[in-house]
Amino acid sequence: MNIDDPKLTAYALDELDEAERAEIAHEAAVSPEAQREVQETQTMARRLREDFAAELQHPASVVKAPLSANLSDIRDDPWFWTRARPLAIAALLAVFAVIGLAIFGSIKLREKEIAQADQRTTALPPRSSVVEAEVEDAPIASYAIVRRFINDGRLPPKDSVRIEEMINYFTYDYPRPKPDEPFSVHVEVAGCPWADSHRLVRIGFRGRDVADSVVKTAKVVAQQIAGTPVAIAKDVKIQVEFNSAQVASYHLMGYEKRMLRKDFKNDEIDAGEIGAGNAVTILYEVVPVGANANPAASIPPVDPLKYGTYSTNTTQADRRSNEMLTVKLRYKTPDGDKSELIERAVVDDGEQFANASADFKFAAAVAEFGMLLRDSEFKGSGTLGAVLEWAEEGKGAERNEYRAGFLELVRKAQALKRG
Amino acid sequence: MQVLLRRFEIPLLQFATRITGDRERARDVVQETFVKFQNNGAFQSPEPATWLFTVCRNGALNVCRKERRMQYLDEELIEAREAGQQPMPFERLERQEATGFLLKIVATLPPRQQEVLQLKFQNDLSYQQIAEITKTTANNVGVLIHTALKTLRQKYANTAKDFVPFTPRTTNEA
Repeated sequence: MNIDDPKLTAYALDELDEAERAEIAHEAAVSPEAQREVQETQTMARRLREDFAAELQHPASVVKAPLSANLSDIRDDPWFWTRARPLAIAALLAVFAVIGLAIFGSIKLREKEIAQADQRTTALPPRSSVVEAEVEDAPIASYAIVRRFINDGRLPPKDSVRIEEMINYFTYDYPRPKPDEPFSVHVEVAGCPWADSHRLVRIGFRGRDVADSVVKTAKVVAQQIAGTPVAIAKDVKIQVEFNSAQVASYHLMGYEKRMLRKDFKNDEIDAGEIGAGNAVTILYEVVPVGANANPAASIPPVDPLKYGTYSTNTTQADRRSNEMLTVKLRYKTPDGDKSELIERAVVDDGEQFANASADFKFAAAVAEFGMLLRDSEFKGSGTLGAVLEWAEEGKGAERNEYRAGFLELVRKAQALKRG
Repeated sequence: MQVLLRRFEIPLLQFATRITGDRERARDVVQETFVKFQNNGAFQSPEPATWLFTVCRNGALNVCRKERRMQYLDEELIEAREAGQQPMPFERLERQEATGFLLKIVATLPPRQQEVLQLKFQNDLSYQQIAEITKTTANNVGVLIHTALKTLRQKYANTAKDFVPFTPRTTNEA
């Protein structure tokens, strides 16, 4: 058979219909040359997929050579200098504006521990975890890479599995922000399905949708200030403060690689980048006070609260407080240096995992799937079978396409693990 | 809407960047694509991917047109380029071992081939979907991908061969 036939390439890429496929398969069966051709095409296809996937993960690394023009021609064109360049700057600023206003783009999270200001006056040990969001290009590509590997019949390398990115590949229903606030905060607490006595906390942040009006406003703003380096969005800081009367320790899901890379005691921990889009989900596994008399013996350690023990210095007020945690979201408006604050106190009402929302179950399933693929020390008692169950319960109605894809992926991983 | 935004934002950005050669313009194009998407109610479309890439491609080409970067649009020029010279001579590429080298070779291919490769291997679209987006036939998409993969394999093999002397195997294992 002719090995220089686009049909053979289409066959290698699984682009033929049943009849053609059978026909080519029949011909290729007796032609070692054709078989090698198919194999080499598939190898090149896999390399391309990997490199293209890596490009999505590091968008800045896109090969910049324009398809469309010889740049030197344009630079010699006076039009470029008089009009195109200011326009480009305006466009750039518009983009910043849109990103800033809508948290469009993606969000880089940085976790750091806040040092206690003064032990003597506050009496409480520091017990908060700060997640600082910076708006920039960031990937959710880990899920795509994991999927690619599994579809190719291999389990992904552990380091390519980033739980925070996998969780944020999917979207969850969060309420729209109030008219006067750029973000909404949503918190749900229920049982942790892979560790009986632990609690799982899902915190969702949602920015304003990318509405037409926002885009227009952003452009007007940008054109007015063209040429002036103005950051429309100043830092967005998410702080989760745990009540030491309720919480013995906690663990932020994901970020393993980044945490290992740097000193965790350092208070500028780069916990990595998550989620493109305008909503972010983070999960904490929480060990309630008194949940395990001897955690080290039976359950993998979770990050202990920093700076000593919690119990001895706890004030009466905190003892009485039944709040589990407070989520604080600080942001600065473009026009002021003043930091605005959105605050949500959360009481754990003891909800069981079985009664949690579909979104909660699904996010938990994705997190556990990631931990199992990473063989994480935090994976607990979960199995791929359990992940399937939780994801099935959390599949929901509307987002079937992506969530159903996840279920399929877990099944394939199950088959691979069985060998 | 959010699902689609999340799912397609970066792929569309990469796609528009390849066409315009400019990240910032690409961002504008993608923004407008999503605005149109929302306004037209296109999110109810059964094939949002095809819709999004088609509108994004048109938007990117419009940017080129407005900025007199006509070459990409000009079918004749594209054909001429495919037949003859290429945008960047392969010999001038910097050699690089890391992943991403393959994409540098991709950048030497004719524009038409580059875009179908990106739609196929970055976005997992079918020949038929790619044909709709790039306004051609599935057969032609098949020919473009076939030709592109042939060239890539050949150039990749040549490069790999050149690399061998620079990374000699050591005898540590022995």
